[in-house]
Amino acid sequence: MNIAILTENLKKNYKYTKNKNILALDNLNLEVLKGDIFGFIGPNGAGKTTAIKLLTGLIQPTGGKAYIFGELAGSIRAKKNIGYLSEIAYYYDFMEVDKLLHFYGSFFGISKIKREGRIKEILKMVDMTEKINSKIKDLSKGMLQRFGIAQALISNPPLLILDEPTSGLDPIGQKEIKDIILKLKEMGITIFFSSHKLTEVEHICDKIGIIHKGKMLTQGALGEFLKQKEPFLKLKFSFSLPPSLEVLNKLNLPETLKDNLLCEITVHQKDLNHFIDKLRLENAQIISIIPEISSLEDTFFNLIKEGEKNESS
Amino acid sequence: MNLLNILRVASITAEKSLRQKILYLIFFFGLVLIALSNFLNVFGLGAQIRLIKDFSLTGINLFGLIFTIAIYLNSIPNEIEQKTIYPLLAKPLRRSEYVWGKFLGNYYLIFLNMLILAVELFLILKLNTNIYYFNVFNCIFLYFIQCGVVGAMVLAFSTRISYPLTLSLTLFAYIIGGFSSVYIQYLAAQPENQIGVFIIKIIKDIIPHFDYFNIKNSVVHDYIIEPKYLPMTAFYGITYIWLFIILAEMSLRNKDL
Ligand SMILES: Nc1ncnc2c1ncn2[C@@H]1O[C@H](COP(=O)(O)OP(=O)(O)O)[C@@H](O)[C@H]1O
Ligand SMILES: [Mg+2]
Repeated sequence: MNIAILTENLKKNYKYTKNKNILALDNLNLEVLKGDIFGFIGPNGAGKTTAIKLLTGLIQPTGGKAYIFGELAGSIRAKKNIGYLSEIAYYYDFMEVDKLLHFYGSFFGISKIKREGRIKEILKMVDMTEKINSKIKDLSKGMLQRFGIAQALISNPPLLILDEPTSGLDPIGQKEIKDIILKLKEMGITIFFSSHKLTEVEHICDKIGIIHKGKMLTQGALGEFLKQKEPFLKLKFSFSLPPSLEVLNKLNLPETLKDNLLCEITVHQKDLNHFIDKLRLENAQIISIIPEISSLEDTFFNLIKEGEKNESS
Repeated sequence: MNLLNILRVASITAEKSLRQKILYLIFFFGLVLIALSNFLNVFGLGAQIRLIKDFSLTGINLFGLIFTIAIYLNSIPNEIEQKTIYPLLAKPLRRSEYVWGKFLGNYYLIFLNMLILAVELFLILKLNTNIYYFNVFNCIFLYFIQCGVVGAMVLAFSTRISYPLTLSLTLFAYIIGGFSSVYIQYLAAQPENQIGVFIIKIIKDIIPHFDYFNIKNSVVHDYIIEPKYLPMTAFYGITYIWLFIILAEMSLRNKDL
């Protein structure tokens, strides 16, 4: 079985009253291959958590089906293969880290001795070995999130489903979580995680899917999204003397650079060589050329805007 | 269903409930109330013993019920609200195992609570008369089964409706279900009560007959209780517990957590 997650027209309608309901997920068709890191991206309220709860069997679909390694989502056999980190994760706060991990691990039928070894291993992986005897209520927010990943890993699952694993953390905490995710990828674990920030996923995902108002707008390899962007580059260079107005005009640079030795501008890919030639003629030193990545974010916003336009028309 | 899974949930449920201070308070009041019965004085030892029994058994019933409702009312709603239910239900655990675990974990604490009160009463009676009144255990045993029925009912209601409503419905069911058949016959004898009695009878047919669990009068007066009565009534109660747990499980399965 090469497919870790498969959904067919998965649908979820939350009923409030007879007349009011919310179509939180509309015919979701997902395919996540074994070994992939899949980023499930969308703004708040897009339906990410709903999709994840359907995958983990916490809620029942209104229509469609979901499979985890070929087993129907929500079945005991499907759940055995999933490690899940919920969006807002609270744990029994009166318990100690060690005891609670034993408790969660016991549902997988892992023997106590094996659990002990496993707990040491995963606590090391999420870098909280020294907290093994701490009470849950004494953990900081970042630690709690790491504990959340640890409890998801207790059974050594082939698939991890993480709902916004970095939201609410400070930049250092976010980086730590991302590093852990990358470490897990190296171990061959399939990872499905959601985020409302695209920048979050750029560096760690193989594939992304963009969801908005319950509909999947697009999904595919991250590389393809990067290709879609307009190829602009950031060019950094320096002069030994501040450039004269004449030089600036010749290079078609803004006058504000007049008193600077160090300049940075954005150029289109197709103009790059020509521009560098001209700079070299003026004895400028090329310092760096960096492709702009932020346009992934633009792709995201454009897709969402398009989605909204289609909806209103 | 996996029995081990049920026990795992039960043990963490009991551990969690033991952190509710209100339960200690209810337990403590029960203890004090029964101890107070020792100081009730009426003329004649026989009358006094009957009074101690009557007073204490009523207290055990009442405090047992309060303890039961307090322990079950928030047991599942709390887990949903605090979201501790998510990591748990995502594990290879069935909803039925979860609900049975919730029920049994708390029922174990109710058992301990009532056992201690029962022993207290037993000792008070022994100290006063030097007689072992084992029959109080029969009465308290059925109270304990009754608490299970009420508890399972609260558990089932609480998965869907708010706790004030759960509380009202439970009290309503307990009062209607507790009307003794004799009392209903008496009401039915008066023509102007016909409609009311008809409705009460219908409701009584579906909810448990809580009056079955009350053998206090027989115990107070040391009447002989038919040997079959205890196991039959216990079976009756367990059937209802089982039905309410299924209801709770179905309700939880379709709930959008
Ligand atoms: N339990 C629920 N009951 C009713 N509506 C819900 C529930 N959970 C989510 N919703 C609604 O479904 C939509 C999608 O929510 P959600 O899946 O949480 O989005 P996301 O995780 O992408 O922020 C939102 O409009 C939200 O209000
Ligand atoms: Mg969400």
